[in-house]
This record gives sequence, C-alpha cells and structure tokens, in this order.
Amino acid sequence: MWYLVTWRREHKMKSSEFSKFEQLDDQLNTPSQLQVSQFVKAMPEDTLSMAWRSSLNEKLIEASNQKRRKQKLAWILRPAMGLGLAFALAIFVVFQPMGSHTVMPDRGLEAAILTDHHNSVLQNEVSTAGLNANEVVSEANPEEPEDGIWNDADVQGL
Amino acid sequence: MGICVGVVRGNLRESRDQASEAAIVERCRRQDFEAFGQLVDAYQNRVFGFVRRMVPNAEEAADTTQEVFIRAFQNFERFDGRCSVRTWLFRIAYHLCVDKARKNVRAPQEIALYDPADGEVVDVADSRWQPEQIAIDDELMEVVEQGIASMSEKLRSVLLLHDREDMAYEEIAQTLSLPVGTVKSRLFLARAHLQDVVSRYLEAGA
Repeated sequence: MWYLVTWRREHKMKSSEFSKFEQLDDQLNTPSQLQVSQFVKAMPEDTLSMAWRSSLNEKLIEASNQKRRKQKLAWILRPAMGLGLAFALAIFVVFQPMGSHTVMPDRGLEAAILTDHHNSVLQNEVSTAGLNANEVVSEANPEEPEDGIWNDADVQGL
Repeated sequence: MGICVGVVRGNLRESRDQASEAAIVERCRRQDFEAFGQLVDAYQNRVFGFVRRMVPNAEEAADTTQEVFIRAFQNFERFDGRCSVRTWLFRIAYHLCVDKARKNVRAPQEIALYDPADGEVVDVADSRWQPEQIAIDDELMEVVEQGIASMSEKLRSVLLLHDREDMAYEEIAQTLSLPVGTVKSRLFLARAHLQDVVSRYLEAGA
C-alpha cells in the first residue's frame, strides 16, 4: 500500500486516474481476457524460406558494398572540397580589386612642388651646392671669384 | 534452497543471454556479417509473424521483413543500446508497416467499444463464452486471424507485441512511442474485439 501511494505521488496522478489505472490492470487479468491472449499465443509460428534468406543475404552484401563505396567517395571528396574552398578563398584574397572609386581632388600644383622639392633634396645629397637648377644664390657670397680661386672669406663662409 | 538455486541459475542464464547479445550487437556495429546473420536467425520469424499481420499480403510481408533487416544493418552504428535489439527491430518493423498501410489506404472495420478509461465498464460477458471448453483448432485459429486482421493497426500492434511476443507494457510503450496507460487500454480493446469475433463464431457454430 505504501508503495502504491509513493508511486502515485511520483507520477503526480490524480486519484481518479490512478483508480482507472488499477481498474484497467484488473480488467486485463480477467479470465476472458487471458483466454483471448492464449488464442493469440496459440497461432502457428510463421517461417521464412531459404530463398528468402538467400535474397536477404544478397541485398545485405549489396548494401554493405554501397556503404563502402560512399565512404571511399567521402574520404576523397571531403579533403578535395576543403582544399578547393581554401584555394578559392586564397584567390579571392590575393586578387581582390585594389582601386577605390572615390575621386581624388586635383593636386597638380601641389604635387609638382613636392616633386621638385624632393628632387632638389636628392640632388643636394648627391651633388651638393652649385649644380642645382633651382638653387638660390646666397647673399652671404653674392659674387664668386671669376678665377675660381677661393679666398679666406669664402672658406669662412662655408 | 532448491528455489534459491533455481533463481540464481535463471539469473545466470539471463545474464549470459544478455552478455552474448551485447557481444553480437558490438560486432554488428562493426558490420560483421556473421554476427548480423545470427541476429537475423534469432528474429526473422518473429518479425515476419508481426509484419504478416500488419500488411495486406504475404508477399509484401516478406519484402517488408527484408527491408526491416536491411535498414537495421545499414543503421546499426546508430543503435545506442538504450533499448533492446528486439525493441529496436520491432520499432523499425512497426514504422515500415504503418508507412505501407498509409500507402495502401486500408480501412478495417472497427467495432466501437466504450473506452474503460472514461470510467464506464465494458461488459463483454457472453453466456456462450466458456473458456475451459473452447478447443483451439485450425478453424478457430482462422477466425482469430480474421479477427486480428479486422481491427485497426493501433490495436493490432499492441495485441501482437504483448500476447504473441510477450513484451512487457513498458517495452511496448518504448517500441510504439506511447504511454503505458494507452498500451493497456488498447490491449484491452483489442482483446475485447477478438472476444466478440470468437463469440459470434461460436454462436454461428452453435
């Protein structure tokens, strides 16, 4: 009795449901119900032929071969698909279009001045004073000696 | 003492059977043909007996039974062992039979009885029903087969699994994905229907 009460609590059954459950168990065990179950049990056993079994064996072998073929195909295809995807991604990253569609403002004059300055700096580094086309003549030495001989004032001016 | 020994031996036999079935199942998971063959040997007739009474004709039943075992073989690695192999095979068989029945659109005659779950008691007592005097002969078996064929697949499946396959209520509930209470009520209705069919046969004979 204690077990039944505990089971009912565990299954949260209403008292009406629980009594129906018990009633059903009783009804299933009546002599007439049990007799019918004996009739069902007494039905002859069904047997299958050897031909059926041979046919089943053939189909099982075919199913097994099919499965093996699919597994082999998957074994080859999966890495190939992975490599293909990686390759496509790499192509996309490498050959991604670089240019932008924004229109730059016209900076022709600015660019020319910058280029000129850049060039003059380079020429200075290479050839120092005297050979630049854009060189500004310093007021400290307005005149160079015509004969090219340097005096003390010229050296000190350096 | 003798009873205790008998119980222990019975338990050992059961545990040996379970252990050997577990070993076979493990080999089947690895697509071992020989192991699967043993499984087929053990269950082919029982599955066929169930399927034969669930589908219209014997040829279709034989094909369906083959399909049960082919599906089981193909999907054995998915069998997780939470239920027994028997439950699993009959579940596959049941679902295949239901699919075929839907295709065939079979409409069996159903005899309506009050559902005992509603609280009303079904009175199927018959004065001609004297169980100890009914002889089980071929003709009666034929009547029983017809009675089973005339009930719906819902009642038929429960009746066959319980009374023919000796499955417990919980196992049937697991096989058919039903509550245990529904299994019991369907079993009661199936037996009551069969009893009615046999009573009419006896009445006609008398």
